[in-house]
Amino acid sequence: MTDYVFRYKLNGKKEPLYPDPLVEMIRAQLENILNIVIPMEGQREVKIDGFKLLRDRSSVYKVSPQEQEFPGLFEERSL
Amino acid sequence: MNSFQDIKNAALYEPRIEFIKKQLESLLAIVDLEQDGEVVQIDGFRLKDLKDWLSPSPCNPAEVFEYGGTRCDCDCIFCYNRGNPSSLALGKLRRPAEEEFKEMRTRLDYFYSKAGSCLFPSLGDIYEVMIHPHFFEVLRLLREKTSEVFRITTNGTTLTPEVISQLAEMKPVYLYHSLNSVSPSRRRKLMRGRNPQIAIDALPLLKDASIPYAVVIVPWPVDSIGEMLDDLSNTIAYADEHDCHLVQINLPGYSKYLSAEKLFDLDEVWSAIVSCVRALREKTACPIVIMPSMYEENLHEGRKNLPRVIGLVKNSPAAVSGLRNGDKILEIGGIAIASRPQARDLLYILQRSENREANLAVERDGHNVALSLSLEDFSYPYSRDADRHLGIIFMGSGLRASYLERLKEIIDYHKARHVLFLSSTLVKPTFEQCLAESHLFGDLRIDVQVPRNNFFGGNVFMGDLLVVQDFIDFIEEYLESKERPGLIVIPSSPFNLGQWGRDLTGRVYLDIERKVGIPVELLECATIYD
Repeated sequence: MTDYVFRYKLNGKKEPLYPDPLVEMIRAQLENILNIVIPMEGQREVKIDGFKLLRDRSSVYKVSPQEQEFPGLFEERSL
Repeated sequence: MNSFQDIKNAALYEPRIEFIKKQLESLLAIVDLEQDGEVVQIDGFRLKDLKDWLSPSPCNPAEVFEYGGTRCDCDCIFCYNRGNPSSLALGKLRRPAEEEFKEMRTRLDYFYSKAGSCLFPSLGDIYEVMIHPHFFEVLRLLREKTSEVFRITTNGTTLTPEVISQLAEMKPVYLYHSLNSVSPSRRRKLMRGRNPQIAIDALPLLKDASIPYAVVIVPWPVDSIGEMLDDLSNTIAYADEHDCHLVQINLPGYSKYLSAEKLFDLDEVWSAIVSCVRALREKTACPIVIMPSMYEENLHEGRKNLPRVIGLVKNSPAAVSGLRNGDKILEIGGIAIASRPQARDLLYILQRSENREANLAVERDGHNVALSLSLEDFSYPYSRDADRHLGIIFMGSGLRASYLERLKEIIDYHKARHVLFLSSTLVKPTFEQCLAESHLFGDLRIDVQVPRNNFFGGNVFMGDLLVVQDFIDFIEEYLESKERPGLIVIPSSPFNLGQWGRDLTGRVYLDIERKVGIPVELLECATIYD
């Protein structure tokens, strides 16, 4: 007897957090992965709330819309 | 091709499937997939090799047959599934019974009880399993793979003599029979099912078939509290007359989704039920437990967490040895007992051991009494397979000392001096008692608070039913008037359904920390619905 097929539906487009679709793709993937893993540095758990692109280290993007630290949706933080 | 699964159910237990879904969606927002130079439109995905999707499991047989519980032939006025919002991560698949059977067959194929693994769960709301057309076929196939007890919850509408004899062929079986009332008219009023007499007549038949069963009752104050209590007394007397293993009283509650209007005063109804049950325990041989047990403990017990006997399964080793209701266990096998969880753990080990005898010391009416239990001296309704503590029934599972040790480790890791601990109305008194008696915390400041159940609303006040948004709302309100703590600790029980820290809406607990900006840790603990 063949296995029952576990199928899952894909949904359409979602409202992006960032207008740049390539930034949004990275943000969504990071947000997604941070909901199932805890990053570590040595034995220490590391909390991640943002990222920057290697080609432009002056702009920081937040990962999750939940984070209080970044009040504006499209606000970027310069270091 | 069979139906799509509900992603919400999968996300609760196996969020890596939701992860794949979101990864694919995020990629498909910026690329098209191709085959032979042509763009391919996709609208879903499937798991490739199911062996990759095994997960550690105690391999409880219910993990297979409960997938048949997708329909109900009653419409209980207190049904906790009724009106639940779509945001709840317990979806209900609408698909043919044949397709459900095929999924159960596949789950059986991957049910490795010796290895302790089976396919990831993705159960939604569970209704009546015994009306599924393939129920007994699934049980027969399961019995070929496991000798574990089939613990089946049923509303009893199918428990005819023929069905009970089929169940007897599947032993060991234990039934949680939601009888609710011994009165046909009241049962019909409460459960709105057909032919209540079948469920009522099932009790002597189950006894004749030597199938141990619990009678489950949700006392619901229709008409009046007095009528509810009279019916409760009559139903318990009937259960006792037919050698019920246990009576389980589920205290009635309702969410705002079941009723936006206040249906009754919780404390008035619950305290009346508890008083009635405590009086009934004096004249009833079968044990009666109240769920949640901590309500009774908070109301009537000055000192919590004691290993005090509140009931004895008829004809169990404990009952035969002369143990009595009210006895407080002092020693088991020469080991001094300090708490209820410790007593339960030792009794559980003894129950599964090869030992033929066990010695107990108890405190009875201010005197110490020594008892010897013959572990081979028992008969129906006690069952060596189904029972866990030699027939001794306590007022719930109690709070483990190890929880405090783990709490201290968490606090030390964060080097926190001020901790906000989010408990529940039911657990808080016992937790605070344990905290006050512990030497672990020195001058650490641990502020124990109780968030409200805004999501479920109604008169729900169980900590296990809190969701992420309830915690966020509470902490934000707390921070408006109180000093900011260095750490927030939450018992893991609201997130216990899967092993991935999701609440009942499927939201991960990490969102609390993201929102409030204070480290949040879960303290691993069992649900209080033991």
